[in-house]
Amino acid sequence: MTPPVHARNRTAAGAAWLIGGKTGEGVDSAGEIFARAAARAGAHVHTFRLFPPIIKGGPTSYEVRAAGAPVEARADALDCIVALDGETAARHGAALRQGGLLLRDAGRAAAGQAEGSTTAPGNAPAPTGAVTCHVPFAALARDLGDPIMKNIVALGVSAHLLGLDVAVLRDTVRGRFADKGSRVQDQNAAAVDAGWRYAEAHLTAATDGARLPRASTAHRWLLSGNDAIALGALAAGCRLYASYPITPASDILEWMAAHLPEVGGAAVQTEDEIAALSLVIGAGYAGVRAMTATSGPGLSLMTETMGLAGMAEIPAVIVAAQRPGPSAGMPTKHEQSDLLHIVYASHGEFPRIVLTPGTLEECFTDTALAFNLAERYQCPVIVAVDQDLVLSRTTASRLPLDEVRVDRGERVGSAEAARLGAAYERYALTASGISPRAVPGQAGVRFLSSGDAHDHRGVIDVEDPAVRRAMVDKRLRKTRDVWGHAAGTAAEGDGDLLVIALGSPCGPVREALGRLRADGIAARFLRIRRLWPFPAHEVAPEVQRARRVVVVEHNATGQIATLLRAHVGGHEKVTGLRQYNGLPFRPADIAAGLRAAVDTPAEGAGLRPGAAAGD
Amino acid sequence: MTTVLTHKDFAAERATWCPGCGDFAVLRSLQEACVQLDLAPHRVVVVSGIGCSGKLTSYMGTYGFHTHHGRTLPVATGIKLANRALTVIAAAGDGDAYGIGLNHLIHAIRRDIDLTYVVMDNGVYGNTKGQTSPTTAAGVRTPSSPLGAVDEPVHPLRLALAAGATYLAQGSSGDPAHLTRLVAGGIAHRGFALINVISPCPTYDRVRTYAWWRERLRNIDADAGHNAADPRRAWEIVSQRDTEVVGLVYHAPGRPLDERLPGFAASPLADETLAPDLDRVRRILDQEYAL
Repeated sequence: MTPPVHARNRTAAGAAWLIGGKTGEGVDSAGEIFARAAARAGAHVHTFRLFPPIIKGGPTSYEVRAAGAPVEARADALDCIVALDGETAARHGAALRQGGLLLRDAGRAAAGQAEGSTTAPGNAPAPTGAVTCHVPFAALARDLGDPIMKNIVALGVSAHLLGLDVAVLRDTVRGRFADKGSRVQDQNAAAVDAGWRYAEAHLTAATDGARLPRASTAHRWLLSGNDAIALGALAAGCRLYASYPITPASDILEWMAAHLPEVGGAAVQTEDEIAALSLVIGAGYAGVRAMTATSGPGLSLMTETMGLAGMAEIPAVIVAAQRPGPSAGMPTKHEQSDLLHIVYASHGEFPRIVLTPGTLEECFTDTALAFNLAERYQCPVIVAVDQDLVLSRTTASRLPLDEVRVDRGERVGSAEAARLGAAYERYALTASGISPRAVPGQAGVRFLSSGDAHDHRGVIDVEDPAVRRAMVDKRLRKTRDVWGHAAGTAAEGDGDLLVIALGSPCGPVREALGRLRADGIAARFLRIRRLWPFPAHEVAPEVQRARRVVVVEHNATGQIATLLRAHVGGHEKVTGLRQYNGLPFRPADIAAGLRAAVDTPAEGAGLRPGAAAGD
Repeated sequence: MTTVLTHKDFAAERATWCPGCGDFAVLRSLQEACVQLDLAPHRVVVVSGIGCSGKLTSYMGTYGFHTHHGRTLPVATGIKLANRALTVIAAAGDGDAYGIGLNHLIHAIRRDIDLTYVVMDNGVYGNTKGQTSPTTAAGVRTPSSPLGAVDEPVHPLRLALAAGATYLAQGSSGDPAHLTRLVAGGIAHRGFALINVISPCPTYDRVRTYAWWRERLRNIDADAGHNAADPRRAWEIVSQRDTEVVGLVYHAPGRPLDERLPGFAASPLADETLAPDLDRVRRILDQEYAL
């Protein structure tokens, strides 16, 4: 895909900066420092990493978008690229806006300012309309004692060109190397200054006004979706965590391993994902809140165990962070192509709940809520997220901590257990389908949980057709009132164009709709917040009211649209805007796609499978 | 006043195994071991897998979890970590333990999780009508090996010792009293205990009958020269081509997972009354994510 260059006057909107190089060159750490420094200087920040499945030597980049208002998407175009290697210019140069800066390591070329776009040496042409500057990043770092610091020199240069306070940057760099001792801190602070001074002396003419914005400097954090998910789990009382490392969910394992011991809990890195979910189910059966997190391949391994949780009515929380499949697919890239798998995976029929957070805050609240739903409905609850949502870091000024509640569902207390004794029925046929839960260790209410079909007492080898049917119905009716405990949708805006999305695309969709609104195109944005049970009664009136429905999703076959058609209908109105090239949407991709949808004659056009934006 | 329990206090439904099934003796030994150790039925959880052996949880008067095929150990690990005050016993067949779920055995041993793993090893897939199992001897004809089983069987004791098992025993359904002692020893052991039980299938294995095993099985516990604490001796025993022994093969001090996990709660996690842990969340936010 060639990202569209969206020429715009970006000074008001902030600045987008990218550093690229090879894995092992310090690209990630430079990106993190820059993001942090920009946020500390007062900007709202959103980051995007593009990294290869190669630990050393593969092409990697770190994008930082800083704005005066909250941002939740990549920028359409970059204001500045720091290219630590030749490949970065080739890969990302086309994303530079008109008049944007390409900072290349001078290498053997003469250092200093280039006059325009045509003088770029090296193996890649300079992008049209961009200004290429050759900066001796490595040479300046070498003069300070270690060429590895070229990334830090580049930060100093970038800070000068984009108007980032050098003192804030210096302080952030010192903080980053706090555990390396004062000598390393001093060296890196000097690298910042060297870059800054070089830019001051040689590159002043290159700046065309791109400035990092300053917003309020309220108390804020910079964190990823994975961080928010882990915090949500801890807030809700998760005590056991089991998983197998897999991108992009491994961060959660590392986080839990660091923090669960603080609350007396534990993270277990299991031998595979089957063991991970099995352990979670063992803990859930025994009355402890437990969670696992994985991606598509791991979820595939967990599917039989999900069926066990469904049949035995055990609470379990599963975070499914999607990446492109099938098989190992593109393990470090982005997609939403496991949605139907998440909704349908396993054998037989049983209730499950699938929550789809679309923001950092919702990653936190949905994960905390998932534990309540799992215990209330005694079934698996999946928090379905995607690579971009869990790995991108965003500034947050508040997390909705006060919304966290602990609801452990219907439990049999010890007094009631004593009263019931052998009369206790673990799978009692109640009107709600929910049977009050005892846990092992309680006196008087011994029971068997089983993956085999069983009756209301838990007795297996029951082959009576009436019992089978009654137990299937009992399980399936449990989630009938889920709408009252987990919102199905969230709607904003108004117009006869209805845009539907979930997960990370919600950010760029919202931004794109803002632009359409400025152009007089009104649209309603419906975010799916609970993919399963599918919120048909919330979505149907929205579809009925709309003239045209566009479903924005990161897959090729239109998985959200498939659920929409199955549960709501409105076939003639539904069209898809789909991207499945491994990259998250930019707002311009969506704005262009929506404009095209609006301009297409309504009759009949909706049946055409959605064109993939940007391909 | 204390009530003296009997095996009947650990019984539930009437077992439906075929008459003569070795699993009856395993069930009775488990019940007797619980009585000998003075356990309360509601403080014991038995986890079973799939197949004839999996039905054992229906017949035990303890808490039970009849899980999917081969995953008794990770489920039991979750239960033990959730409530470390409970006695957790995993009961599986040779298909569960040495076929579909073998991976978990090695890792449970490595973790030395405080579980007792009783494997009802009948060398056949009885519940699916007699196919070869991972412990079927080479050459044996079954419905899935009409010309004779091609592969060498898994050697559970050798495998478990190599993986670092701290309590390793083999018993026989033909000697329930001895089996009870081995099971009770495994439950009392703080760490992972594997008790492989020769449990004949009278329906699908007409060769390896109780009488056939009685002629072959040698009780090492009766051997004055045997010292279960001696790893070299254990290696000698499990290195025999056919480990036709019963008794405690190896026993070393355990290093159970729940004692090694950093910061792990001394009291059962399941007993904790949960409330939103917002102060901690705020503290972590400020320590790790504040600008």
